[in-house]
Amino acid sequence: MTDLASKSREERTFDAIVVGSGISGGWAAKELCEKGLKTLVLERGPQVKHGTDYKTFGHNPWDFRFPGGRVPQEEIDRHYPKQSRTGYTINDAWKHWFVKDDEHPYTEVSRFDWMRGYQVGGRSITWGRQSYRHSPMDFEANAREGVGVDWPIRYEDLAPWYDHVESWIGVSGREEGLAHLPDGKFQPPMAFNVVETTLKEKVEARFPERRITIGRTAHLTKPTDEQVKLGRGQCQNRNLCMRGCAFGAYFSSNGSTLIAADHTGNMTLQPDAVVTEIIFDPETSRATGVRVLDAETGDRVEVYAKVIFLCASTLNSAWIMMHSVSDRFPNGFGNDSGQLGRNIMDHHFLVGAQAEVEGFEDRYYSGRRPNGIYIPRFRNLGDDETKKDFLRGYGYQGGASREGWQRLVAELGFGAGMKEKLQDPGAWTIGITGFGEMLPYEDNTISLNHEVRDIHGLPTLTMDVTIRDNELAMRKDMQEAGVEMLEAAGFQNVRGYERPYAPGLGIHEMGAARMGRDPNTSVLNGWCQVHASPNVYVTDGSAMTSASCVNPSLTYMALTARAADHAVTQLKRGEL
Amino acid sequence: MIDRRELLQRAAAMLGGAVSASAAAGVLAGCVATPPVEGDTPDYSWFTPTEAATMTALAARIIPATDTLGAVEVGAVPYIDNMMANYHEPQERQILREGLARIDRESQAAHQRPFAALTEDQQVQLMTGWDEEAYAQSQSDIGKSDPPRHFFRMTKELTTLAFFTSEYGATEFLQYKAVPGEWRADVPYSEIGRAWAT
Ligand SMILES: Cc1cc2nc3c(=O)[nH]c(=O)nc-3n(C[C@H](O)[C@H](O)[C@H](O)COP(=O)(O)OP(=O)(O)OC[C@H]3O[C@@H](n4cnc5c(N)ncnc54)[C@H](O)[C@@H]3O)c2cc1C
Repeated sequence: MTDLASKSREERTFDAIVVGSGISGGWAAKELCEKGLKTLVLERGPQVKHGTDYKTFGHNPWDFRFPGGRVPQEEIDRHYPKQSRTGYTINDAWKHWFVKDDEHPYTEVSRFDWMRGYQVGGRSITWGRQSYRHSPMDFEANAREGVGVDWPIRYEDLAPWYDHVESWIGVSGREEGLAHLPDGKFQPPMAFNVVETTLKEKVEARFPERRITIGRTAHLTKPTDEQVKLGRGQCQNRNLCMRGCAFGAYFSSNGSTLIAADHTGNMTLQPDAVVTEIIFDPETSRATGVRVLDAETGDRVEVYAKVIFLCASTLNSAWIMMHSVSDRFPNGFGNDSGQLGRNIMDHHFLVGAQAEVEGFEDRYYSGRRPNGIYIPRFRNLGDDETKKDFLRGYGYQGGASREGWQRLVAELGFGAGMKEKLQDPGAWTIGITGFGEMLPYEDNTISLNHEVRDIHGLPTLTMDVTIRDNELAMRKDMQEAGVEMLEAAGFQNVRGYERPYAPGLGIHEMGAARMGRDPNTSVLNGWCQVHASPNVYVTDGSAMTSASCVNPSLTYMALTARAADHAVTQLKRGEL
Repeated sequence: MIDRRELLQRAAAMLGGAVSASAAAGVLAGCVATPPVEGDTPDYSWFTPTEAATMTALAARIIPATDTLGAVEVGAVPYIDNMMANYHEPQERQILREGLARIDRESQAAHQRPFAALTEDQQVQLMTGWDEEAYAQSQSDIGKSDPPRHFFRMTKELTTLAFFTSEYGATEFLQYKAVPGEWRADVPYSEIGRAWAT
């Protein structure tokens, strides 16, 4: 419950308001507080205290109700028919970090998988932590190819902010010197196992333009003094990250940015506070604050600030804007261009290749590396050799491991012989899955649905998003090139696979309020400011003008830190 | 359309087997098989006493006690009872229930006794037939999109799951480290000696 309603107007007035406490909101909070702004962070979900609120952190495998933490079908049908679509998100070990679909419904014109959690920390608790920079090529592609609109910024604009973010959160990775996957500020890389090393050697020898590297992941492999001081420690290789990490070894808002923001004394963090609208003053063309609905009591209250950061995640920030209608903005906040709610993107995946690997029975590993291998994009790099019949490209994530005790159930036989065999690990297997760039299409939309209401009686979203010919052509190549590499490595039973993919399942939803140079064709400018209301910054995935093929959250963090710096400078100059 | 390897993978995935790095997140937790306390008559919520006796015999043959404990000793039967009562879909419950009835019918026909009262050899002989039937069915399922499950395959899965995710199965029969600390990417197997539970 919030106690905002009992406070005076003065007490409800801050320098800055940040909406959302996930990856983007945590960064906004930290940067704005560290730069001296009294900042109110509004989070619709409940408090999650770092460490103490990770209730399954210490569970052993045998401590759960059902094997693998599986959740009974009846419970899934009732509460999680959509949140379970990944196959792994609804699990007793971490299902409490995901919304209940019956409380937070949405409507699908065609299938759309919207995986999300409403709590302090948002999805920073459950994210996969893969962290890559967009490259110069990514920022230039739209303009060069005449797709969507041009990014109003270039790699050089963001590079110092990538440096800043990586150094602070801690990213483990290997420098590769690739123009199309810029290196970052890395902590020591995690190591390959013997089969992954074999893949690397064979593939790189056969395809000089391809590289196999270790995943770049937001885990501490060598914490800095600053990280240690914040209470963060080195990764312990449990690979149980989605439960929440009491060691603070991977980056989450709860274990990192929100702690830093809190240390400044400038942050007021308000859980259970659903932001429903932005309040706009047409006289000054500025937002004056936001309206808040208490998630527990249903009370409504207004809070005020000079600058507002929308960091509620791509589709929710767009929801707030679409839900903020006024005489000045009859079609949604800042939506003079008609682009709000359009150009929804994700990364399409679930296509790649798998193989069995003969040999190496005398080699094994110890520990559970919370990371895999990464194969950076190698298509359409600007030369003739890498040019394909589709635009953009894809990268692969994957890994090799030895089969476990599950491997014999589908074979003939049982009894003491089977039991004995299972005491040893099985053969090595390897799999790689492509993650492909999806183009921004204007008619891939989300819109407000006033018929279907959420648990608070608020309108919900309708998704109408599909992949098109470019993605389909790319998927074909993703499978073929995957097979080609595993074959080049000399592995056995190489087979391509493709499973049905629906937008959203990549959990990298982007677009909806794109940045651009022209207010007539974009919602945000190059600093993530709403063109028509410059004291509102939108710095989550909704700002993205194109998707690249790399995991996006690092870019949201860099955009947020850059925008926060801009906002504070502008405030000082009296320009907001 | 699925082929043989896909079937194997699906079967493994059903037990939480990792196929790809991204799927690995789903493979990390465990279960509740706890050893029966001496003198305790388990209070089954799904099995009838006859079914429980049949299941106990099946579990004992699938993962028998050897110089290490077997599935029954680590509590597989109450565990499967709990799974059937609280977890499985109605259709799967029906497959297992009908399967257990069929086991006793065929046991009566062949040996005029319920399955639980047969000798171990007689049990193994009958089970080998069902195992072959389940395997043949899975072979003919190749290419089908959602093949029905065979009761013997289900029994094998449940027993394996119960054993390897129990504390004993994970930590003593195999090995498990709650907090590994280090990631050692390439270690001679001889140094490790047994498979990791996860
Ligand atoms: C299983 C999984 C794996 C992933 N793996 C990766 C990966 O490897 N690499 C990567 O880059 N990304 C990954 N992602 C995506 C990543 O989690 C998101 O990109 C990232 O969390 C987005 O940050 P955000 O702050 O915009 O949104 P979120 O982290 O979702 O936070 C948004 C917050 O805003 C709050 N909120 C929403 N609406 C309102 C409102 N109206 N009022 C107040 N508060 C509101 C929410 O409750 C939430 O706390 C993964 C996600 C998942 C679920």
